[in-house]
Amino acid sequence: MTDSGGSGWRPRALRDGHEPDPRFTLANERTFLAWIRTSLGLTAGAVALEAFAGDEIPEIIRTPLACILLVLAALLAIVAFRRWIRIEFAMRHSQPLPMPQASILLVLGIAIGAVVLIVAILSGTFS
Amino acid sequence: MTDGPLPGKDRGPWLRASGFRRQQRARIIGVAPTAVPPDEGLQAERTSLSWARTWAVVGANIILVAKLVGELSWKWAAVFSLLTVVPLLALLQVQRQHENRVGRFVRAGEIQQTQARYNAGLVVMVIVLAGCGLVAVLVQNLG
Repeated sequence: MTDSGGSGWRPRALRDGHEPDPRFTLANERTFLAWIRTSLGLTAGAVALEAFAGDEIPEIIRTPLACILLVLAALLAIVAFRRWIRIEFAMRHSQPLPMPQASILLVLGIAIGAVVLIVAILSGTFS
Repeated sequence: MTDGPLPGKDRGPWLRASGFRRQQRARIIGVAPTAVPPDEGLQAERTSLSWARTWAVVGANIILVAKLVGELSWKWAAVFSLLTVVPLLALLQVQRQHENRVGRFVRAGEIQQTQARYNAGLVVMVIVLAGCGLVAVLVQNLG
């Protein structure tokens, strides 16, 4: 949510510097929300895996994978908040924007999860 | 029966009144119809919709996790289902803020700053959801 400047709690990193262009602030906010939705997608995937894939995927793979996805989702939410603050700080101080490090975490997590899932499905099919 | 003027009578005041009513209706989202947006990308509207989408996804996730928690105990499921009130109230708040946000942006002259507490609250909500899901999975499989 946005508001005209000055009101509400604000992290220490965002209390100084000059107010950025509202369009860029809103774009940063939407990016943060997109990360949060990605995190929620991981949560939904983990829950669906545990609740609806009981017969197809063996428990020894299903449970750790669901746990990893849920931990990844929580981590991603924290990283998204941190990144939102860092981008806001960079814009307020006219600094270059930070690299999206969370992308590496996300890509690695999803890639490993997908490979494990493929192995699990194949082993369930051919066993 | 219509509330229009009788034939042969002066229609001026009625027309003026209906024009005023039409103008009032057009202003229903709080923005003068003639105002020119400073940004053709409609950033404020897209951001408000992004918030609404996010809360909708939060609601869907709560229902999914409630299904998982419900397999443990109906009492926990009932307690957890109370959480669905949070995204619904948040959605109402989003819609309430939407009008102000679009109005401020279209009229310009005001710098809109992100309210950090909303973002922090959303992150806490996501962590609570993931934590509840993790506990449910672990209790179900290890218990």
